[in-house]
Amino acid sequence: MLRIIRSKPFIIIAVTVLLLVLLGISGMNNSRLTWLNNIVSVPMKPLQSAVTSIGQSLKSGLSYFGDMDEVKTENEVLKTRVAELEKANRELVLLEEKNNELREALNLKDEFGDYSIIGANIIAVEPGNWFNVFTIDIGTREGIEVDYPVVTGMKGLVGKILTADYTSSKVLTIIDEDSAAAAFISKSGGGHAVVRGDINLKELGFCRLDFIPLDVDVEVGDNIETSGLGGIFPKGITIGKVIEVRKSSSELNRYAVIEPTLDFKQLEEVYVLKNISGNEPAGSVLK
Amino acid sequence: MKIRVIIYTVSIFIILLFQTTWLEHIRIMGVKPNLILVLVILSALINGYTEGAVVGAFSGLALDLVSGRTIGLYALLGLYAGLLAGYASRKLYKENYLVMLFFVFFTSVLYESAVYLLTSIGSEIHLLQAIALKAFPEAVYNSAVALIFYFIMIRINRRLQGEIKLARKY
Repeated sequence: MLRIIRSKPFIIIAVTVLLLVLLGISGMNNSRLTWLNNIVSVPMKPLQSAVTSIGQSLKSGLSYFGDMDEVKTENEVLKTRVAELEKANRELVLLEEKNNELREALNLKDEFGDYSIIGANIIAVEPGNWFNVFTIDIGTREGIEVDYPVVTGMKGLVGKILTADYTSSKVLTIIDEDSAAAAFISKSGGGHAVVRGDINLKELGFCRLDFIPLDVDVEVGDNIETSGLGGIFPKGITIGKVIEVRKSSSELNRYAVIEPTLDFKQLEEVYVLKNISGNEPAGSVLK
Repeated sequence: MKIRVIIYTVSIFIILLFQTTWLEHIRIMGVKPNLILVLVILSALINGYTEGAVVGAFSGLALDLVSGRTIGLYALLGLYAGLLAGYASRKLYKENYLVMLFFVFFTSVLYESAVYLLTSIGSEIHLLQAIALKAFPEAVYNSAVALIFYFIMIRINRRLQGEIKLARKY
């Protein structure tokens, strides 16, 4: 009996079964095994932060020498640009004041008023080639929980929190094929659709728009934003622009290729939106 | 034995650190090498399938914990990648670079195809496309990295074995 237990095939089978059980448990209920992730992620986090920032400063240090000429000409262009922008800015400040007055008058509820915004740095990315997940330097210690939306400022949707460890969390980007976000085609006569990642498109940094209503005429250049349905993402965050509409065999199978407003390869900082009102986001009843 | 465990643990930790940070900047054709997999295959080639399987399972587990998806997937695949590479090569002359490259390449393609198939259960599967776009370029990249790893690992291994012989002598 002891000989059987000590034999290599037996050990291999036993370990395989053990790992399959682990796989099953972690697949079923993520929350119970997150402490396991902390074993690696907590000691890893300061090192990843350090290595990433060393890499970034090396990169900028190296480019310093190469870019000197470029910088000089760019500086000239920028100076004139600054003057132009200052002028435009003054006008905009006036417009903003006007806008605020009108808003208050209409008593418009600010869509992001229910959220507090937490800044985070990207410190690491997925070890493999298949997924588009990255690690940020805040976690449950800072109050981050799974499914919190992640944005850059208010102009672009990045994704949502996939797992939250004690000091760091993983963000699933919208171009990952596991990701899906309820979207709205923002033009007159626009409708609801779903933005999903696609294995072929994500290489280019694009994602696809599925389930486009039949009566909606999607065109290149249409803006896509979150619809607020599904309860994860708040309404009105820009996702991207339609750059191509593809039709397969029938009209029912059409989908659109979307170029996100963000360049995911250039991201360094993001913001996590934390719901502070306690209210579920609009539309979550439909879940 | 103890030294071996320490060397592997430290190497896995360092490799994971770079795998998740700097490697992002040296992507070629959209892929980066899988350094952990290279380590597993080479340990199996150099020291046999038992060591390959153990290193595969433990480094896979570490990879699982870092990637933050279901725990156990990379551990299982690492276990079998180590077993396969070690077992298939057990009768071949190991210190031959061509044999080594052959095993790194094919185990990488198999491993990444398995990752793709197992993670896309329940959705559309385009295996050939996935192999052409990801697994194949990655396998080429892994083979190139393996040349450097192999050079280092062979030397560490010789030194460790030398110490064992010395210990026996006295």
